Amino acid sequence: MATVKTNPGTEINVTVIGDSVRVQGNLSGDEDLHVLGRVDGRIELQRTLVVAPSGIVKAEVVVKNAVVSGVVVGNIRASESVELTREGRMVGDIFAPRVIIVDGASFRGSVDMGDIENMPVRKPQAERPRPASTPVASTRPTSTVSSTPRPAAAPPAPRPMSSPPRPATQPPPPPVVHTPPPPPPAPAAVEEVEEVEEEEVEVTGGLPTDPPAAKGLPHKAQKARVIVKRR
Amino acid sequence: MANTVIGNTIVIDGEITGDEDLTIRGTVKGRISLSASLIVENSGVVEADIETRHVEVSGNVTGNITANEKVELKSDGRMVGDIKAPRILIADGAVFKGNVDMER
Amino acid sequence: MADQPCIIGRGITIKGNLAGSEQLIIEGAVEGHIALKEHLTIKETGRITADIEVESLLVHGSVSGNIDARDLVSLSAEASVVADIRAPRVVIEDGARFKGRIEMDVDLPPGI
Repeated sequence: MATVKTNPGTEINVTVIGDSVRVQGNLSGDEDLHVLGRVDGRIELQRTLVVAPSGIVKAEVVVKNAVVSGVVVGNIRASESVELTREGRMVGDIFAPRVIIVDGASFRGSVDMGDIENMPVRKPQAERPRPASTPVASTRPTSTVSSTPRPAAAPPAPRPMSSPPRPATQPPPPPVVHTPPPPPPAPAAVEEVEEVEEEEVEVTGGLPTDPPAAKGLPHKAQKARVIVKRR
Repeated sequence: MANTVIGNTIVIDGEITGDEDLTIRGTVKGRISLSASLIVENSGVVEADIETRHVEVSGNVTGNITANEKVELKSDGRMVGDIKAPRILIADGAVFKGNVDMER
Repeated sequence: MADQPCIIGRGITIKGNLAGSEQLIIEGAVEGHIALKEHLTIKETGRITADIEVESLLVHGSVSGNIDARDLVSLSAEASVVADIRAPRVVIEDGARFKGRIEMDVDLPPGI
């Protein structure tokens, strides 16, 4: 059972799927979810989905917010916003009232913000659900992406994608078990899925309003311990 | 000073309407209907009927011009078409072939 | 002389085809087809109902039509765009309104 234990005094609920973990099935819950590994199936959250640069989500996604810095194949339906960051790659359709695509992201699919004629002109909101500080990729050791903002007329040629080839960050897939998840006991818990590894991941979070770093590993300030247990 | 400038590599095939000054350095084919001034510069090529308040031609115009103020063909202007305007100025050097109607 | 981009002012409406090989700024209305070999900027007051083929595009106004660019297509916060966009780079800023498809090259990892 994936649960989150937080230190007393902090109230952040985050579930992290570590980068060697592969989940097949449905995940749902009322907390933020950070995917550093792979999820195949369906994700339904009342909060924020963050797909880290190492994350792969091949699923139907229904969430409040989504921040994609990894790979998503599937449709995302968000009641608030979807953001594809510089390393994000997505194939699928986006249904959300607010969509942000940052230069460097790649996307193929449709975008539907609803009735745009009657949408009021909105001032860009200063606060958006972000995993951590702005350039998520800045400390990734293997990234060779140049971080200078590109002027409009700059080199069109192959965009420097996040160069680490995906296989490098994923160990050979551990045996994946396909049991259908048992009915969830309570909405707050992340629904049961067979996790394939027992892993204790120490994740330290960023600022109080930010869920822990999508990079997956120690950042600053608060701590949230995530225990992913094998059944 | 004209606000809208159609640069010399621009080719417009269609209809231009508007209420502000227009300077043409490129090519326009079709129709032009302005309530302000039209300037066809040296490099401009216009194959269109023109309706405007005031026209100044230093380029090439093929088409009829109707102006409610004035039409000026400058010394490097070339025009084939009819002009209908209360005031007309054809400078020395301009090339013109067509009818002129200054009747009020 | 042609270093400054051309401007199609607010009070101008063009119906038909517009083609060129210089930078263009549109503040008025264009209906038809635009084919530009350089960068096109559509200002807040620009209203385009046309298929657009450009080198790169920056939209602050409204566009309805298909967009085909060789480089970046960027929709600013004030933009309102209904279009299918095909470009190697697309940026949608927070606040932009967009409905349509986007086709970029997506490099997926093997095994997806």
